[in-house]
Amino acid sequence: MMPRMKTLHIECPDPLAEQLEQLVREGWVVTQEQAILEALQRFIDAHQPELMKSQILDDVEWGLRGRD
Amino acid sequence: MDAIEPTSAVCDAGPLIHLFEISSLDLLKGFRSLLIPSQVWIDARKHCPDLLLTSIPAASLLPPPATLPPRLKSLGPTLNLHAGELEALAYLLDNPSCLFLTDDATARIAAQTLRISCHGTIGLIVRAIRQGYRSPEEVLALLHDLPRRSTLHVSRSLLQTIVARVEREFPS
Repeated sequence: MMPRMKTLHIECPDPLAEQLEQLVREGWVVTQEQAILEALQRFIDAHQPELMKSQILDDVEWGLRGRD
Repeated sequence: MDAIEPTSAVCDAGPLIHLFEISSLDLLKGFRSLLIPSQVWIDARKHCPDLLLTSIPAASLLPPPATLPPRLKSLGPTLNLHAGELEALAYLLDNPSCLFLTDDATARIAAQTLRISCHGTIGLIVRAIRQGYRSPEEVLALLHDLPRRSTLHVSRSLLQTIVARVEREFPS
């Protein structure tokens, strides 16, 4: 079953949009949407709240107790 | 007790931008040297055109590497690392005793993968207490001010946790 889809509207700088269009023209990605969704998924995967929280709490302990 | 030799640090754009936003670039002092990759400097100045190298303690620019090490050539695209982050990591691979200062989650993942020590703006703010640059009250004021003055992304609940941690360490 298809997941529910939401439409997002973004404004994109011309140079970035052109780079994306070039990737599609040259066949590196099938559609702009595919590239954007892949980039979005990668961003979300690398910015999991629990991961960022643990990184920052580690920073706090270093700030309090580190030697440098 | 023997004096601790200061470490050198390589700084990404995030700490430069966020500390500039809260008028606290002096919190970057205390390192033997603060190295800023040239692309990082370009990126930071795009966000903060008034940022001056002379206002950052012991700072100097790192020229870009001639080539990227093979490990970064594969890691970079996988984690979507920016050019400045790649420049920083290239230097750190050859100088692993240096500290990497960054707020970027993916850059931190890369640093961890490469066994490079890494800390961000919040750590630098809290570190100001043990270094004697700020009192606990001043650091707590900076932390409370972050959502209003800085573009650093920290959730409200996490900020409360951080404040509580500092208050527990330094009860008033």
